[in-house]
Amino acid sequence: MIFDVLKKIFETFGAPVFVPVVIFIIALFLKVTPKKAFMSALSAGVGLMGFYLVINAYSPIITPIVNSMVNNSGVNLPVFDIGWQTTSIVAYSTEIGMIFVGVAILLQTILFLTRYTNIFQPGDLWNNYSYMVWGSMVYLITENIWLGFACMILQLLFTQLCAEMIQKRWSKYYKYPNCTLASLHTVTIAPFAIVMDWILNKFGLQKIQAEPETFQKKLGFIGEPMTLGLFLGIFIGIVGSLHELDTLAAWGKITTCGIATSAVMSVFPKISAIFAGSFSAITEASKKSIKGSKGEWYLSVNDATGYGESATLISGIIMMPILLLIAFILPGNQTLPMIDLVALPYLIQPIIAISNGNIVKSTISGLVWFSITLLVCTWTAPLFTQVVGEVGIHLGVGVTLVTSLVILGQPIAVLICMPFLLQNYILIGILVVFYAASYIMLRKYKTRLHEYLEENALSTKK
Amino acid sequence: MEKRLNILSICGSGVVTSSMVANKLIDIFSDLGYEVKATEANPSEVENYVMRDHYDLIAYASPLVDSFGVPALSAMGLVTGMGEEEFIEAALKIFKEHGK
Repeated sequence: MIFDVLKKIFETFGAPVFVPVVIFIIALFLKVTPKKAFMSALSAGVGLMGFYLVINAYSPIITPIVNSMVNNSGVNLPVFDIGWQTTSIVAYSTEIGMIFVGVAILLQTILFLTRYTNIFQPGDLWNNYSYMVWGSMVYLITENIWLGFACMILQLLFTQLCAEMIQKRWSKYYKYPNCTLASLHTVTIAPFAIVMDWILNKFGLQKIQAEPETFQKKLGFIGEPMTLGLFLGIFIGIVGSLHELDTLAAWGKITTCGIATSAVMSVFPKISAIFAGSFSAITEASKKSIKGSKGEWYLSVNDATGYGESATLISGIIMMPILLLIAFILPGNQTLPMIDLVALPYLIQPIIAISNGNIVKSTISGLVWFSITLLVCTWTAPLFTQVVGEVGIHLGVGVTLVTSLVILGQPIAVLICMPFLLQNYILIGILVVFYAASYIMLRKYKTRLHEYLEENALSTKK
Repeated sequence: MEKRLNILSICGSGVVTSSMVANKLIDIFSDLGYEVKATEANPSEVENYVMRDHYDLIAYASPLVDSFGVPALSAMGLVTGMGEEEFIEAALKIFKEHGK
């Protein structure tokens, strides 16, 4: 079978060789010039290799500290958050992930051209890795590649529904005409965000004003990957060395952990940028099919476009320390949020847009959501750690498990993934029926929902 | 002699969107006869970059609070492909004003 052959090739050459080849072929297929296709392919290989080098150097520093934290300090948070950048590399390094790149472009383009949806998702091709993480876990457990694909496609369809709910509001709030978010990890919060906002309004919280700009100048430095990395690293270092704080060696470990975490959080984005560069030519080429689109339609854009907005950034920054605290006291939680703490402003954008930039409401909604996220990460960590091991990144030694708060903590994604992991075809069937019903409902009430969200936003004070 | 441009490309964390914008900037302005260097960064790194090096333009795809005296343009037109012409026109005007 073709997948067995692919698997063999994949195992022999490894991701840093295999991934560039796939990118090269997809680029040529989309009529990108050979020179550009080659450069795209090469940056994918270089980005992947660069990542392996950094992560495999960081893991011997952080793993013993997490292990010691669990074993000696009695803090049972063995699930270490390695961040979305590493997770994207892992996702693109899985065989199922690489095949899905092509499938996703094709499917998303067809769904748009047939007007099944009014969102052109390949505009944010990069973020498709979010589906791949779940698909590769399904594949790992069930060894059935079709179940893996079915899971990813169902997640993709649900994502589109959620994106259609908030497309107008996001576009208006962030002032990007015809643009919306449409990735699994950013928009599936939408139903929750709409309901939470309605509840919080019942308490009159929409009347509280807070000027985000004044906070931004004062607090901005905390949200810096470099500064936050240092603080987090030292904090974890101290917690991990509580039993030997009177030794000089312990302080050596603590400070090294601080600098190393700071370094990783600053260096990861740079390597990610090289890797992401390999997607620009393909994204551009795939956008050709939107020329001449009529009616109301939206181009999916990357969540980075809303990151720096004042209310978004400030609500995110306020949540960072509180969420870390919650992690220590939340019953059942084993996740230690780390690298992805700086990524919170990406995920709260639907909440921010729906509350029209109300920091108080957004922070409350966000913290409730992320508390659930911590538990989902705890639950998915053993599986994801296995996937990480399969692609040759040596993390998660001893008691340590790995996760990404942003990508693997997604409640809706895990609910869709569950029936596939259990290989329960009845549940999968129920899920499909539920999707079809939701699709029909949204078609019917979408205009009314959008009107409600607009009115609701305008009644909220900033 | 070719005219050199040094452009800073900004997005949320200086990863995905900024690198796409950077690649596009290089494509567009190389075709217009410039020799282009584009660097990706996140909004809070702007001050550091601007202190270290001279930039002809900041192209931002995420809201920017301060551009530290460097001419800045929203690059959303390049991201979406709708409004590319306007971006190029505005950028060329800025370059011309600075003798490039």
